[in-house]
Amino acid sequence: MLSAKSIKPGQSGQIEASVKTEGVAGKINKTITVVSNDPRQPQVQLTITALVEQEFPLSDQSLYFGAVPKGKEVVKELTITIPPGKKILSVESTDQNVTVKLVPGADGKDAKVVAVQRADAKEGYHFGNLVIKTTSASTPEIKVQVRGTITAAQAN
Amino acid sequence: MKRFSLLLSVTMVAGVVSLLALENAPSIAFESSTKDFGKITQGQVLKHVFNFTNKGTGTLEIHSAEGS
Repeated sequence: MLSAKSIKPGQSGQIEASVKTEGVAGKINKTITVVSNDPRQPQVQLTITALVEQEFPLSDQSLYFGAVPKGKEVVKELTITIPPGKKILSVESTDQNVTVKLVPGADGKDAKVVAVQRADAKEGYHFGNLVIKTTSASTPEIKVQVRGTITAAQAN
Repeated sequence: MKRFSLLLSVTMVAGVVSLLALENAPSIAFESSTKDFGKITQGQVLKHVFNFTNKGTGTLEIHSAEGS
């Protein structure tokens, strides 16, 4: 976001940048290209870097069910690591074609999130989020994107 | 020869015009063009303001500022 488009000699301006880190893990490197009428440097690159860490590390950042024919159930799972003293409260899916359940590990240090693309899912592309609620104040909610494509049923 | 000198004078005029343009040129100067947030927890929205000054003698026009 830009404060003003025209800046007189000697005056200052601001470029406000914001980067979302939901669903991102590891190193991020974002570049903003500023184009102006400065004849010596018509383009300036601004960079924002960060190392995104997860309080509840996930084995996968998103789940893709692929393109499958209608009438076939598909199961995908990921493992969530639970830090000491924290718990997972619930898991829900915002994608009506996907149901989800939590299978806690024996020692409470991890859990499996099992997502099922329903056999009665409608034809077409679908997407949504698995919303995992936790007892952590700093990470009360984790979102994992789910998506898939249902193709026409195969002829027998 | 006549044609050559005409061509030369056109080149010179173009040169003078571009010199004039630079004399009245804006100059964009950022305090810093990089920002490293270090280690952060997933889910946070990173916000940063890049400050710049027009250190030239002409009005600076920002055409666009787009992220990758």
